[in-house]
Amino acid sequence: MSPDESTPLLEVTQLSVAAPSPNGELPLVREVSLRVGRGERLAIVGESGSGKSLVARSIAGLNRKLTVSGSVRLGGRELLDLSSRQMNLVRRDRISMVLQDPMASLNPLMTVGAQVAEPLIIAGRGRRESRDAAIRMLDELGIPQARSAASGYPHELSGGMRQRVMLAAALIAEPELLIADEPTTALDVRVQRQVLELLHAVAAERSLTVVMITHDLSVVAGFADRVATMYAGRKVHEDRVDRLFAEPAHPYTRALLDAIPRLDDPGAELLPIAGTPPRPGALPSGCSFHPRCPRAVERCAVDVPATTFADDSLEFECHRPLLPLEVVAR
Amino acid sequence: MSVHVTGVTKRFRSGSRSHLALDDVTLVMPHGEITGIVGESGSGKSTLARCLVGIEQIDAGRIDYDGSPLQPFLSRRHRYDARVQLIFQNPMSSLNPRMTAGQLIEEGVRRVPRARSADWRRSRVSELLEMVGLDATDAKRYPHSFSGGQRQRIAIARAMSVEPEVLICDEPVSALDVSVQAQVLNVLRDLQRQSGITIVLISHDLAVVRHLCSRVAVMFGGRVVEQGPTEAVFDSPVHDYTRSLLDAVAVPDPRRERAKLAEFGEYREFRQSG
Repeated sequence: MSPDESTPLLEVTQLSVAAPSPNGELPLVREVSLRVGRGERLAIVGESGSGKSLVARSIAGLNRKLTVSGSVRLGGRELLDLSSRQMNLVRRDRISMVLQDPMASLNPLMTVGAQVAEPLIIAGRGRRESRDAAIRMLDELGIPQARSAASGYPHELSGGMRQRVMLAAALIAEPELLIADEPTTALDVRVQRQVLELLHAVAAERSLTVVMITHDLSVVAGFADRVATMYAGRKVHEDRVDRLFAEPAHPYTRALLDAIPRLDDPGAELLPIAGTPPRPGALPSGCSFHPRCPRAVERCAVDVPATTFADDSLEFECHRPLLPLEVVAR
Repeated sequence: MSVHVTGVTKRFRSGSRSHLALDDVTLVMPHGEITGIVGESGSGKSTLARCLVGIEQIDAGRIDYDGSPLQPFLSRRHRYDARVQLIFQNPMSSLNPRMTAGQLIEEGVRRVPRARSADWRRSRVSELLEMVGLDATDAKRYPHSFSGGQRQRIAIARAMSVEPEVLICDEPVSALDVSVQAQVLNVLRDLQRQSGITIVLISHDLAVVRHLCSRVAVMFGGRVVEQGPTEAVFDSPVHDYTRSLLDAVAVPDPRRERAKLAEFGEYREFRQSG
């Protein structure tokens, strides 16, 4: 839990992202608000096109070509007003990102050691000192023979090792916030497990604040403290991780969980979600999920559901939620 | 139709280097069942799929369908045996974007001997679309206007149009969102139940295989390290590799997942202090 409840490290308020198109602006993210305390881990889940990655990129100031509005505060400081030069400094010192495809984020012409050391060198630390720190970091992340690996190039490494290098580069400048966007998605099962374990361990050792984006609910089950579900650009549900998995209040989160084949429950019937997510700019009336929702009633097609704050941790946008027992009992 | 793979070896050569992709693979895929083949990237599972349909020639061993090898058509255009069909991971790259769903499926329907009358072909196309949970009116739409899950179901309908006896699916749902994965998996299960076709499901996702398959083979480094009835392999794996794969799979259960992560944390602490 955060030591100081009143000022969360990250506070996103009414964040909207829109893309210019010939028919006016296409809304991709619609008024999303999030709060993440120091040392807390929030997962954002959703299908492709739900806007989850755009939220992550907006926090890191990487959506310069899109219209971003609302507010993103890090430790009380507004980030959306910063110039790109100032934002570079924030990304150097305070926010780091790990992305899905390490091959696309690592420079193939730079040695591994130089890339991991780069944030320190840019911050003005000495070359030798930065290089030694990079080797220690690679070693901490379980890269065998870190010293000789540091003089090698990314293509010489396996996917899992590259992701460790990415993580080393992300953590070396001791950021306050780590944004991990599908960090384990392209990896094999066993490598995925290793990267997840490592991410968990290094985040725990540093009490790091983490926002993890993923389409795979299983990946965040053990990692996150809280989970936010996005659908068609909106955050439709958020809750503590245990209650979200055990008693998902939003029918969409429930439907996502029912659609996953489970290794621990192989006999369960798989329930696909009917239809497909709406395209931006062609959103259904009322609740965006109503055409696919098994619980939808007439009202869902007419009224946009407002955000309901059921207790300290649960919020949802739904006319017919599946309220957890704890909430009903109150 | 049952499939017997016996001592199959496949080597890829590039200049002076060579890579043994399949190393003495022996496998049984019984008639009318769904057999799963699991493994990580580089395990040889996709190479095996390609050998099964004859896209790749094997170097040694034999692949028998009900006791005899593939019987390729002799003309240049149809080198493959229509009784064995393959479905790929990405339907967008395997469906011709300039043909409607109906045209794509009809191409296969035409090859069936009874396909003389246009009426019969049309009704067969509708039947195939409905079999995969689509609407007969979808025949007029082009691939780009369908979602990923729908496209994969068109690919299944197209494969089924030539009335195959074996359907080989190479990672059929790994490019799809969870919400639509289930649509495709349920179509495959219904196909097997209703038409008694033999299905080979190649996947890196153990939960998908466990859910759908009655038999499973685990591949590693070009070899089959373990095979048998799904329950036996998953509940009491014999090979260490199978066990390590099963242990690694994430499940949507916070308590179990936290316990796994905590275990690693303790191990790491122990290693660092020692």
